[in-house]
Amino acid sequence: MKTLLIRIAAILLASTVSAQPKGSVHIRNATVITISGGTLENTDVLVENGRITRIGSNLSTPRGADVVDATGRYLMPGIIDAHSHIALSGVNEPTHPVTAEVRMADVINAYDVSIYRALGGGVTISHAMHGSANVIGGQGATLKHHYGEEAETLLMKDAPRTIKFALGENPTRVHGQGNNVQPRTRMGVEQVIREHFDAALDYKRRRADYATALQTWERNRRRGAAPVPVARNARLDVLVDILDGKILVHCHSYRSDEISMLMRVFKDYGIRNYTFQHANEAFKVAPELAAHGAYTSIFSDWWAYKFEVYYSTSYNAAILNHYGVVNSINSDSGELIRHLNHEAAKAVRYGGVSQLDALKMITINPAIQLGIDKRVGTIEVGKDADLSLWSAHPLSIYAIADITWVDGVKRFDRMNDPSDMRLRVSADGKFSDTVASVSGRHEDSCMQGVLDFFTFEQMEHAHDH
Amino acid sequence: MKHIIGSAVVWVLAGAAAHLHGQAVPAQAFTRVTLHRADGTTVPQATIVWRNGLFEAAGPNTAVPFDARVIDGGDSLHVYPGLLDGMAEWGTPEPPRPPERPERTVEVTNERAGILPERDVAALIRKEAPEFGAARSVGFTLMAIAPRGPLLPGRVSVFHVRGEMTPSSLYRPNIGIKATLTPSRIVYPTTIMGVMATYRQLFYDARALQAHQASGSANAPRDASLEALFPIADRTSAFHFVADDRESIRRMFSLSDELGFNTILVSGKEAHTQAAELARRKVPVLVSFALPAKPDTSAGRTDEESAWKSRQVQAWTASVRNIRSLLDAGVLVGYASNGLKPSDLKKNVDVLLSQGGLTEAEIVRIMTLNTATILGLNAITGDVRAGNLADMVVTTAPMTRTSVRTVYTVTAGDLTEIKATPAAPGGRGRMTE
Repeated sequence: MKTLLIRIAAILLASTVSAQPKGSVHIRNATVITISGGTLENTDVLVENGRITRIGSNLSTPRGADVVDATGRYLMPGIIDAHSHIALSGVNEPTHPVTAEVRMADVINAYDVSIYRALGGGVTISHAMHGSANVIGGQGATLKHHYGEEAETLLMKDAPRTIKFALGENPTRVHGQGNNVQPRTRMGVEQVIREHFDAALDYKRRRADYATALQTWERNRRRGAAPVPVARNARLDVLVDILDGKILVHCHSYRSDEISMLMRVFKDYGIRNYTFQHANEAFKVAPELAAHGAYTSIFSDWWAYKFEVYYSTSYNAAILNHYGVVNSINSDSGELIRHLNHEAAKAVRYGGVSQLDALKMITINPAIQLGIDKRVGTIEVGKDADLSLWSAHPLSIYAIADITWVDGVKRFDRMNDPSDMRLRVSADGKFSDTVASVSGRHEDSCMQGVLDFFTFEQMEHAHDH
Repeated sequence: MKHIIGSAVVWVLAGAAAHLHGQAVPAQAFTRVTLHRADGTTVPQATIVWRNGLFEAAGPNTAVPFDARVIDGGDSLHVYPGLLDGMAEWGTPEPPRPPERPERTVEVTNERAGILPERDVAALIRKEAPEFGAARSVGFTLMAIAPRGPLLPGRVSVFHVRGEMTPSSLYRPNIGIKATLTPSRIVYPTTIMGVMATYRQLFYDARALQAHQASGSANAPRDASLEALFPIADRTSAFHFVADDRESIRRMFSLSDELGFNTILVSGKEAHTQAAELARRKVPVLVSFALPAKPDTSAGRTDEESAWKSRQVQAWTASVRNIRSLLDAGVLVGYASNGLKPSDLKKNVDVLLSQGGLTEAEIVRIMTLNTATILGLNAITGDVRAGNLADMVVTTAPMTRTSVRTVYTVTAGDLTEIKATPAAPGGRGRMTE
């Protein structure tokens, strides 16, 4: 009876929460890596209307559901990439050190074939972020990979809001060096953050004062001078919401000193629940990160592309994990997103992280960092049916994603993988312009669209992340 | 024909003289013409009478006033309502060219950011721009013009098309504000996401200023840009929103929902992808007749390229049938040149007729009554009927025929003869005035 109620509740919830497409499927006899409840051999997973409704043996197939025989194959939660720039038609608005008001949700490119490539690597959700040109960049968008649907359908509207911060060389090069715009140094980066938080607090107070004064004036039948309106400020509204804990901060960072700096700043302003992105030197301050409850989202082994990224180690993930930091492994790349399972496997190879913990780094941990862990990241009854089926254990170098479901809808199937998955063909474009070569770790990076802002000297040393 | 032209000149001069002496302006008339109404019906052997810039009568059995100067169509001339251009940019200055690198300043001025909704286009128009004469030769008699530029380049005003622009050419000032999603590329906003945020902030600021001024405070500041947005925020006027691709049109919807403004879609080259939504929202479209070049249909070098080329042909067909799709969905469609040269109009109309699924009657309606309706001018123009502005175009054959030639345009009663230059060997000649 309890199971039935859960199933009914799940179906009702699925039909009311959003307009995202929902599917039903019965996956039979898989090795199910639940992440939260162990690895279950010869197990069925039942998906109804986009939700996982049953996990068990020899389940019966509900009417209308697809059936997939997964004998000998591995089922895991859809992989979640906590740092991505795919599916966007713009990444940086680099004209001001603080652009909290811009939203990646405004520039979702639902036709980007990178989404399909990500599905081919078992990735069902990506966190589409603003770039790292600005100290406080734009608001992120958490996307479900419903390739073939409109942008509004990709957007997880009920996911918590997020925002990109950036420390170190990127904002100081884009704004400070040679252009005489604060920040020029890491000290300046800190001051930009503090000044804007202080301005936001002042704005919040002034808005509240105005609302009170207006009420009083109306109550007094508009006698006396009307209060001067304090207009809504799109930028400060967002900063107030950060300070009020309504927006999750994801901060581009590399060095341990700047990571420590931001933790101090956030402690001063009472900000909790934030994630350091990249964080190559996070291993140096792992205990402090754990103590602050800060999260990290890192590359497995990518460094030395600029000065601040030389002091790095592929043991970063293992050290962070050892100290209890909720850590994820991300792509920041339209290429790397296709094999995040192998990126996670490197944490097993370098530092001996358990297979389960390595898989957590691409499933439940990024879900926690994005505030969507109640919905995705594990295989549990009641959760969204974002699933990927693998030919072998997903941490094996031989593993290939066979099928990827998003909300129970099959969005990738290796047995039915058309040669042309372009969603759009322009009436007046050239074929050669549509043939993309994915060139490793240079696509969809944090610094897209900012080369115009560099001096010639800086361009000679430009890099992407 | 020589006789007709001679008489026309005489009575135009006579009319001018009568006006100078304060006498009633004599009527003018076409007789024995085929009248094509905006609804697609035709009236053979029609008589059309106008006076003081307005139609007095039009129909099959219309009496010609005793004082009328008459042009006899001899059963060979065709009269259409004057064409309307719902969004032209002729004669307006080029927007400033963005520098190679956006300016590194945090001090952003409205002008550099492209926030100029208060800008009056009448003050900017280069009166002798050749496109005005060319447009009149094609048959345009009324034209909505707005400045060029990013984001919010200025107000939309309606002008009579009489060749050279004069102060009296302005017919209806400030019927709306031109809006785009184009970033300035000079200062913030340099991206679409910045443009979206800028719209939000402008509406927040406009509403706060409106509240301040409405409170009666003597200290309420003035701001021309924000004040220009008041009627948009109040929904008493609309954005004439230029957007072509599917994503831009959806962004327009999104802003409209969030900020609460009415909109007319301008250009809309991919509007067919949103036809049902445009119809549901009752958003009219001033559509561009600009069309993509027909794709190369030869086989590709690979199977993938061949398949892609096949899809490109489908995409081209969808583009050419853009207007058909909008009409079928029930969208009100008018016309906007939005940069399409008058000289390119005819060949594109030919494609729309032959492959776009449109009829001549539909094209005429789009370019006349529908455009007038969208601009809020249908009570005074868009068709040949008593009381309307005497705007019409007279041709030697139905307008969409290959061999057609414009003979006259009449703009608010002012008749201009369009002369044909001698045709080059093998050519079809061209129009001059």
